[in-house]
Amino acid sequence: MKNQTTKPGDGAATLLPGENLDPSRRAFLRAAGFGIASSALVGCSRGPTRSIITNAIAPVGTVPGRAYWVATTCEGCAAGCGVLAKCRDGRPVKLEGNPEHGLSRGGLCATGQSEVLSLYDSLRLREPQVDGAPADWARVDEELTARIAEVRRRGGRIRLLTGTIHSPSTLAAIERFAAGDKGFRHVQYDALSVSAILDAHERSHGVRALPSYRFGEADVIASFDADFLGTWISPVEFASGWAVRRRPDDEHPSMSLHVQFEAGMSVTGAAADRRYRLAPWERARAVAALCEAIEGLAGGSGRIHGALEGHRLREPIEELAAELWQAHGKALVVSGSNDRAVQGFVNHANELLGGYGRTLSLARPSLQRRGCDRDVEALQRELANGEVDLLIVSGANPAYDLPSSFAEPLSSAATLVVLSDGLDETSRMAKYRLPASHALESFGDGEPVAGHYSLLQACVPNLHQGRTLRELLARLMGDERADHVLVREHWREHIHPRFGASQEFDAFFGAALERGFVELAAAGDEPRYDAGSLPSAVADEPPGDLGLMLYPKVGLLDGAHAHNPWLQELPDPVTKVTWDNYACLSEERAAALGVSSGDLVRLKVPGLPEALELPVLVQRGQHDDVVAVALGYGRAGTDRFARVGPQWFESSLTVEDGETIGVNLAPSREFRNGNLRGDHLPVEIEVTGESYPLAATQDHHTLEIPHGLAPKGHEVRDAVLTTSLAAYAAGEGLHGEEHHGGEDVNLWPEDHPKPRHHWAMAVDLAACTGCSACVVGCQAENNVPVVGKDEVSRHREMHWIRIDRYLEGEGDGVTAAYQPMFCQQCDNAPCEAVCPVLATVHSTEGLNQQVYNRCVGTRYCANTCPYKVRRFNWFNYPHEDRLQNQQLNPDVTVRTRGVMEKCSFCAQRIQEAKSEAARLGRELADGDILVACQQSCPTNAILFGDLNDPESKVSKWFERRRAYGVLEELNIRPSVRYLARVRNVPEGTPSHGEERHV
Amino acid sequence: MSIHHKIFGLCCALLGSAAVLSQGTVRPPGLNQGYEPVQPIAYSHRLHAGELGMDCQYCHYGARQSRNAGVPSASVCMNCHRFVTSSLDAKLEEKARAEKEGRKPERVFSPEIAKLYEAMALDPDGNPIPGKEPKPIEWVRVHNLPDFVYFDHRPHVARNIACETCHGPVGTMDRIRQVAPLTMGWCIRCHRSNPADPTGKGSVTVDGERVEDHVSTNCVTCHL
Repeated sequence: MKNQTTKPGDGAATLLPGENLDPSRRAFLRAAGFGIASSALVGCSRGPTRSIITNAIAPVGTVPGRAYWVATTCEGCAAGCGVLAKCRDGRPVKLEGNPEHGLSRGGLCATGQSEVLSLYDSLRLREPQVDGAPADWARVDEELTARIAEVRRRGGRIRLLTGTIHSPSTLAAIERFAAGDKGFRHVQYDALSVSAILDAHERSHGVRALPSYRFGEADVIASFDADFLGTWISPVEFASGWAVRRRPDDEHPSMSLHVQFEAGMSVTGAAADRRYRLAPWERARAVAALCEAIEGLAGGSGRIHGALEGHRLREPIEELAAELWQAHGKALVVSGSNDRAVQGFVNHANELLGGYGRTLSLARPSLQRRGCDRDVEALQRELANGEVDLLIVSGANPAYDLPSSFAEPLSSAATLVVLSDGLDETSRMAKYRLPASHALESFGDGEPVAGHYSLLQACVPNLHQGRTLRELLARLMGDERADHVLVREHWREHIHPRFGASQEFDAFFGAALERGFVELAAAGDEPRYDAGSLPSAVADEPPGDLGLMLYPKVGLLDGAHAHNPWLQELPDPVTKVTWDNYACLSEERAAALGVSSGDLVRLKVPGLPEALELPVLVQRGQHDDVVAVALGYGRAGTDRFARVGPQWFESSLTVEDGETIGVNLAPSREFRNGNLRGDHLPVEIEVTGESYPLAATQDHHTLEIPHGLAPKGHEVRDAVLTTSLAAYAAGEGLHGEEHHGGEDVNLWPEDHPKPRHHWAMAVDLAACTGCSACVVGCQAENNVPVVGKDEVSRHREMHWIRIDRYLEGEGDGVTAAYQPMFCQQCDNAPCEAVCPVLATVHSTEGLNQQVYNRCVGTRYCANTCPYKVRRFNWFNYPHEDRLQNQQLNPDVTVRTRGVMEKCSFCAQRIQEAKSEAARLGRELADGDILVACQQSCPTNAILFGDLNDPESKVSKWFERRRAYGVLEELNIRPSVRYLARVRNVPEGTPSHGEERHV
Repeated sequence: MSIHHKIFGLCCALLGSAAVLSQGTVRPPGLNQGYEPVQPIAYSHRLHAGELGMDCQYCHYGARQSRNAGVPSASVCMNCHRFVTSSLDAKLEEKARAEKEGRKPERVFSPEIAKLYEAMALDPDGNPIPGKEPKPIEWVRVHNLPDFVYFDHRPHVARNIACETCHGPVGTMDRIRQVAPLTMGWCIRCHRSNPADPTGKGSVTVDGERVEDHVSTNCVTCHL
């Protein structure tokens, strides 16, 4: 059954009694519908009167209903990615990466995408509070000013504790605030600390700095537990650089080599060419052994001895050393360890390989992590001794994420002032709880990498009474200038002169605001390496039979965003679990303990007063001696999400009232040799015998044919194809090709002409890291609801993009392939054939349209879809929070109960681009339409375009040798093609994804 | 169509006719044709668009750049009404009266324009009244499409489709009235009878056959 051809006179929707009945089904339905509707509506009056309320004074530069874009900077973490905020009628509704930005280059991660929802969080602190009672800023300013003066008069200690700050104007404000106060100290720390890298460079290069890494320049990348594609320092920037050298094409079949050593399973490890399991306490020796092997090849002095001899991984390390040495000057070694010994060896390796100035740079250091763990430790001692008179905390949550030894004496600080969104643990302890402005409602600036200055612009006036730290400090110094004036004046005095006087300040600043950033071209010299700095100790004893490793998870990171429901419901790329953290155990360890996924265990960690109960998650690729638990969970107040999903008689709460989502283990971390470590903790596991349901999406919506039903030889479907670089370069076809091309007999009528456009998408699996930025980007764009844990566990998550994870390999060599799966807009769509009400029909542009108003919810289409990408609205998902509703995309319907939905190829964006082209009187050009997932992708793995245009990029991608369609053998002709994953492995043994494990 | 279908359809249609007869007019749910509500200010399109011949897009400037044509802010009205506060007759009358009484003529306000000054919080001389904020005027919406329709003015304006095609002879209406039914069938009839490319260059053939190239009637053209 197809979209019916049109008949003359079939257009009118109003049918007058007596009109000749056209003997078609549509005419019948119309007659029946009209009759029933009008009889039902006898006596009804016109609908409610609607009003149009316009601004009294027309806003300058904006037109109602037309989106405009504001260039600003993301403050979801300290990476400082460039953002274009899409605003409608005076409010931001969607964040997108700024394609011109030199660091993030157009990508924006899941965390960044979700920032727009945090802005509209209705539980944010709205006004200042003193001792828990609402107060006004005038009183706060007066009391604090007096208190500061009093402390300073008697030479007391004022401390400012913040996360990493790279905003030049804020740092200048702090400097002004500190001027003349010898007792003042500003302490910066990062919950995900990389302080050891800075410390190690202080020792080896004489500068306490974090180098900027250039993954795009590296031919060989060796990573020791640095999850640089997912969570480490600046994942969007690193992933976009990494991907440049990871996507071979038919003409240039070459790519970089990426080797990962790690204890848990990360997206970075999943994407690596070779992956080895290495416990955190084995890192120092492994990196030392690598240095020793490189030294051997370099034929130098040979400063390291005995690390390589008898090493468990001697052969792979020697092999890697040879590859790195061969790529001298184009090699990069990184480590996510916060251990100075490890980082000392990493520096040595990079020096030996000639990396400084090429693949990493200290001349232009990164300022994305500036925390100093020693300073935090010192502050902890001061607090414990009761020596701090006034502690101001901003942009940090030490009561939650620092060791309990820090949090306990925190309340002893004579006066605690916390500037935050008010949802954090630290502000609950504070005498002065002050509301902070959200990044989207404040002006500001940043310098994520030295010489790269970016600006923040307010997209909306302060929704509440928030202030930035800069503004707060200015007020406390009696400076009454507006916040944006403070920023502007700082730029006038300090930033503008660095760019030469060729341009007037106003023009310079205006251009910077419009673009979002400015960059200095010149960089200084690389500091010299001091060979005598090499650490001596290489032995790091294991903490016991089993060690606990705390790791950050994609999206939630250090937990600062735990109040964001999008991130809570985002399936973790590795484990696919939502709404919880858990104890990851290897298969062997789990078998030894006699537990499986979902069994509750009790973890005893010395740093914590009592044992914590966590569900087990058996993770292939995990080190046998390591229990890995994600940070970022157990945030106070997360029981707000108890009823986030629909409430009905069978539903259960997402989290019990008064409890938290997940468990917080961050306080068990410790300062070890001056660095904050959470990867070397002794732990005891006790099996409770109870179980706990985990809402994992891995086995939902599977493409697999149920066991026993598959025809012989088709038990495994080749959804993900992987080829080796060697085979690809040799011109071999894709593995499994014999299954495809089933076009001999075509039962489908060729009745879908696509005269103008044929929209299509291509996804490069070689570049896809599974980072899930597209999932959240799509959610923001298409008003996809959050359904809560209970609904997720019933397979009812609503995400339009599902990232399928396919594990490959065994033991040490486990990696994973990721495949974003969404509606494939099949030309011969099975869903269209089964819909009894024509709610899903084909457009003349190749789109499989879903018409919500026609849908009656039979769900036949979802059942027949071979990709399982259709989502049904089982409920009216909650939209009662009127503030949060401000985020909803006004160009997309909010679906109601009983209708089916799915990826629409961002039909609203196609329409928008067409309307704009019509307005400007030109044809649509390739690249005019960027769909939401494509826009957010840090590695540009997703491409959208018109297949009818043979010159379009997507047409070219479709012709590549790596291109294939998933389930092509069904002859449903998907409009999406995937480019096979390529692994840089020498032997041509292509593999394909195996059965899907939870 | 089987006989059962016909009978059922006929019954339904009869029921519908009964409903129509009891109400007196035909108005399926959601159809607001003929709607002509009283507005807070008796603004006359007949005077502005008809008699004075003002361009529709002077006030409804959103139509060419945005989905929404928009109703102008009061500040847009003030572009002219800073100077024009009454009819010329009233002004001349006051002038004559003032001459007779030997005083300077006062500024004359029509009661409707006085409402505009009130909304803008301006005194009769056009100066802001201290302590008063401008307040938006709450107009009554006439042309209202259901929430699931995403009509876009831009392509229509770009094709030079006269506003009157959909909005009726606005230049003759003192009070704005919905003339067209604004139903989907009405939209589609127009889309079907017009070529996709008005220049005629873009007619398309597939496998040698000329295929339909009228303006898109795909669902996602309007339903997003």
